[in-house]
Amino acid sequence: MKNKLLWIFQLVPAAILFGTAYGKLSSKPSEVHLFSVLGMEPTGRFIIGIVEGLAALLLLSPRYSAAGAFLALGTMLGALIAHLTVIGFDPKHTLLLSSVLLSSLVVLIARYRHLPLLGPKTRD
Amino acid sequence: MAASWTVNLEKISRVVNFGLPALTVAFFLAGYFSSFYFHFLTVFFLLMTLINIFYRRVQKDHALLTNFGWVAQGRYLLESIGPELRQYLFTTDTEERPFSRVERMEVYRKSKDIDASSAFGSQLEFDGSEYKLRHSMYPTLVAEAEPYALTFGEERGLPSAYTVTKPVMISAMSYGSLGKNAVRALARGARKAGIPMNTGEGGLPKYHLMEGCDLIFQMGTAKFGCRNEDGSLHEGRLREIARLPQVKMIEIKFSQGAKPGKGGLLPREKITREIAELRGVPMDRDVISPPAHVECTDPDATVRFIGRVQDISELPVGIKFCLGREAEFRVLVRAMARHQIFPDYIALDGAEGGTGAAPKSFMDDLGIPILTALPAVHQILKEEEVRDRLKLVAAGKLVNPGKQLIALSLGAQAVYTARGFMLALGCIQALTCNRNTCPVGITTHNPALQRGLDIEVKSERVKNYVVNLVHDHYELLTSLGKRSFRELNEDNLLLPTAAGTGRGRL
Repeated sequence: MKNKLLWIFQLVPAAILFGTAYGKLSSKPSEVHLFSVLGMEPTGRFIIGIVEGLAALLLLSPRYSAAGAFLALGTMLGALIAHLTVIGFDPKHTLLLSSVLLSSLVVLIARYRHLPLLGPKTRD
Repeated sequence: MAASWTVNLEKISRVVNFGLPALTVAFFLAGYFSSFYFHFLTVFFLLMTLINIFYRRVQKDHALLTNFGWVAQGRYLLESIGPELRQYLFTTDTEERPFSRVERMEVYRKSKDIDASSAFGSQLEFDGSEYKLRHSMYPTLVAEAEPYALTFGEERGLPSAYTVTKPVMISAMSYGSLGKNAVRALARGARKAGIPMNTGEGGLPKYHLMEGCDLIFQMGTAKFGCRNEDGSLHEGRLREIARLPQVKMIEIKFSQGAKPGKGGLLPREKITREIAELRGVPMDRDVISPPAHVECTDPDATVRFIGRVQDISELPVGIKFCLGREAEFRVLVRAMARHQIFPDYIALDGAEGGTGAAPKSFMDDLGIPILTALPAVHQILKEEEVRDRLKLVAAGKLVNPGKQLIALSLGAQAVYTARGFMLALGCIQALTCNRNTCPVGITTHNPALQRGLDIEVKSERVKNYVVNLVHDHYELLTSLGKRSFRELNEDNLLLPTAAGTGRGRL
């Protein structure tokens, strides 16, 4: 039951991240504009796009979903900083950002023990 | 002045605990005022800080993490590679366990067929704490030595009596404890070397059968391959297995040195679909064999069971156990005499014997070591005047020719070794046989790890190991002034004395 419920919190951010990653990697005009404002065009856009895609893939794997959530949390913290300091907030981005942030937090809280430095020690 | 240079981990941890949030702020400012790229580091240190807060304020499992945070993780990381570091760098050539580098190197060199001579002097002890062989002033010549031969089942006049021509045999290792490449490499090597291989208690020995070597089928307490639902013997299946032309003998396993008093254990990690099918067991839990055969409730029942297996199989039938109490064994021998049913051989396993998996206390604290058990069993058989009714095979860390000759001098007529052959296959003593992660692909079913175990190359190593062992056996035999392995006895030995540790180290 718990696992099935968690799948919602894995699927939703994974879908959003796939979308944003695709936008960044395919040089969608709005993303290009955003990263020009941040002064990271195009290198930063590609790096973040790849990281988002990876996080989405990991979120979909039963074994590495915690790692995916950790990566997603990292990108979202970066996005939060960007919105706070440079871009400002609009309703659409706020919704996407907060849903990915919250669901990855839920997955992390449920599964942090799967992560290497946070899980139980398997050796003596 | 020296004190100011000592490493104070507590202070370092305080610096780190303060430094992580400070760096987060610093990089945030850099990101804000300089380039947004700095925010990669802001996020990194922010996450590090959050984890540190988790260590110090949330988790309760580790006092070190609560008190020191990230710095304590360094201890766990270093500790986790301790076994490797010790083996690579810090352990001396004689102190590694269970096999020291000196012992392992001898097997490696024999199996690779390279110069096995040593220089300058022995690494072992000469303080009376170890068994030594007594040579003769009048050595004989290898060319004049009588070739070794031992016929199992000759006492009963069996048409299927089985003769071995080398005093060393491959001891029980099942498919399950070993991966298929390892089993096939051993089996192919056994065929090349002309020695038999024990199948271990793993059900129908599918992979053992592939290479055409002689086999000793082991029937453990769970009777994999020939069991009824209730764990009793399925006579028809045993008969089918005994009719396989490669199966030369049957061995009933009562106990093993590594975990006497307990049945076999195959950890869940190592159970593949195929193994579950071969053994008829579920995949989702450890497979633990019962501690005893359901048929064998007392000495008489045990002897009758041995007789039954002999009748069904029409092959030489041995029993394998680790000695616990001499008196108990004597009662069993008397029951054998009363019923006039003797196993064709006894495989005596020492408490130092190896295993893929066993509870630690059973491995460490239970059973009699082989060099103590062997003379005791030999003596009891002589006292009961039945020594000539069966053969005695010794096992338990007997991987080197000298140790094997010591066992042959203490009453054994042949020796079994399993780990000797694993070392010949390239075992590096990583001690992970129970985790399915064997780095050299021997005790794992992970195809990626088994890839490194080339069956043809390793089977050649197995053959070389046998050839060089037997070479040394004859060399040692003749240096003792003997012409036949049958002449070996305790008088060849210098026994450990109280002056040493008295443990008779191997």
